[in-house]
Amino acid sequence: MKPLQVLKNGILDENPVFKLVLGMCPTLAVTTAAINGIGMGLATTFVLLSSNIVIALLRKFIPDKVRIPAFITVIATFVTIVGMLMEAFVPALFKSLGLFIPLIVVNCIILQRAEAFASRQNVGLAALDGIGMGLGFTLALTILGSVRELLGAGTVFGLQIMPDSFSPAVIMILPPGAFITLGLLMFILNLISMRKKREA
Amino acid sequence: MKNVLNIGLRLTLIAILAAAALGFTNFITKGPIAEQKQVAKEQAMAQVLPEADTFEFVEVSDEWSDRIVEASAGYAGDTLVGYAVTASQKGFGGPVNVMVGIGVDGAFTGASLLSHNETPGLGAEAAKPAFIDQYKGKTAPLTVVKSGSPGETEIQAITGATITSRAVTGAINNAAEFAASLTEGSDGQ
Repeated sequence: MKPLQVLKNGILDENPVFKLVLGMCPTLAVTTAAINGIGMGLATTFVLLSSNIVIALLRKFIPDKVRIPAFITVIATFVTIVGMLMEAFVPALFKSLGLFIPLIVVNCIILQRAEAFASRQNVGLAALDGIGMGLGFTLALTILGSVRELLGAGTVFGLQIMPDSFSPAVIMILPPGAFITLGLLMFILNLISMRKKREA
Repeated sequence: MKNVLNIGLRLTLIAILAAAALGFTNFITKGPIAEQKQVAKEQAMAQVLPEADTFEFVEVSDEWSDRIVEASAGYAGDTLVGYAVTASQKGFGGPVNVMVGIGVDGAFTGASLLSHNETPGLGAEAAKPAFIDQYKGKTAPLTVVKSGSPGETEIQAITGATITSRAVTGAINNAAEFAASLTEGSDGQ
């Protein structure tokens, strides 16, 4: 596989949220506002990049039979380190994201990338895959967060977009709104990719 | 057998390395984290009781410990100007911790939502000035009203989050009662 293709793969063709439908727990829970989506996405990208690199480096050392416990140990270590560093040096960001950091451990995208990609490829490709998948996840979360924030609060990134006469649909920032938005976005994206296929 | 040992040893080695990395990170972040928490607390105290320049920790007796988390007496120079009391009450999504400043005259000087787990967009709006600044200048006991313009002892509830509004107001009322008991206690001495 070519390096650029690996990068694009994570962002578009195999977007973790819209195409692989992985990591739904954080996706649905944190996307009440655009800023939460981007923060969670970037924190996940960092963990994904670090764990992909370490697992690719250790791929010959980790015995096949206990690979899952080994992957989880590596991932959980990075998540804890990210949480501690954030709390110590960027407390403002930690205040809004602290609750979501431990959620990254159970994000199955990270384990899936370790299992399906990083443990079989060299370090360079694994790092690119981490960046690509991470950015794809960030992009999806930011779009979801923006749509929900716009309809549920009338703002995007805290900026008033809708006119004052617009009465926000509170359901959009409650859990059902997450499912509704995700379903509609997947419908639109599938429609576009099906059209493209038919044309080709 | 040999294989089992080999696998076990490798996994142990990975775990040891992970533990070492965590220990090292904890070693460098422990200090800054404690500092941040202290700074955040001091900022909240200064915000709810702006008159005071020094704070002294007040002990919370067992009788109050289920409602009051922490309390400090605020002094401007040597004069007591009020108390900064942190109270907790169950909201919609768990405990809501509020710090409130109470002047010696019994009026609230400011309030700040320290931690909560309320619904974003609904209960979480309680942290915003539009709601939390309502308490400034009022005296306990306060009640929550859902509509109309709130009077001297009334607080306008957040739309769709009456439970949260009641929890915050309840905690603040308890804090005022606690502060009043402190003032009475010092009168008796």
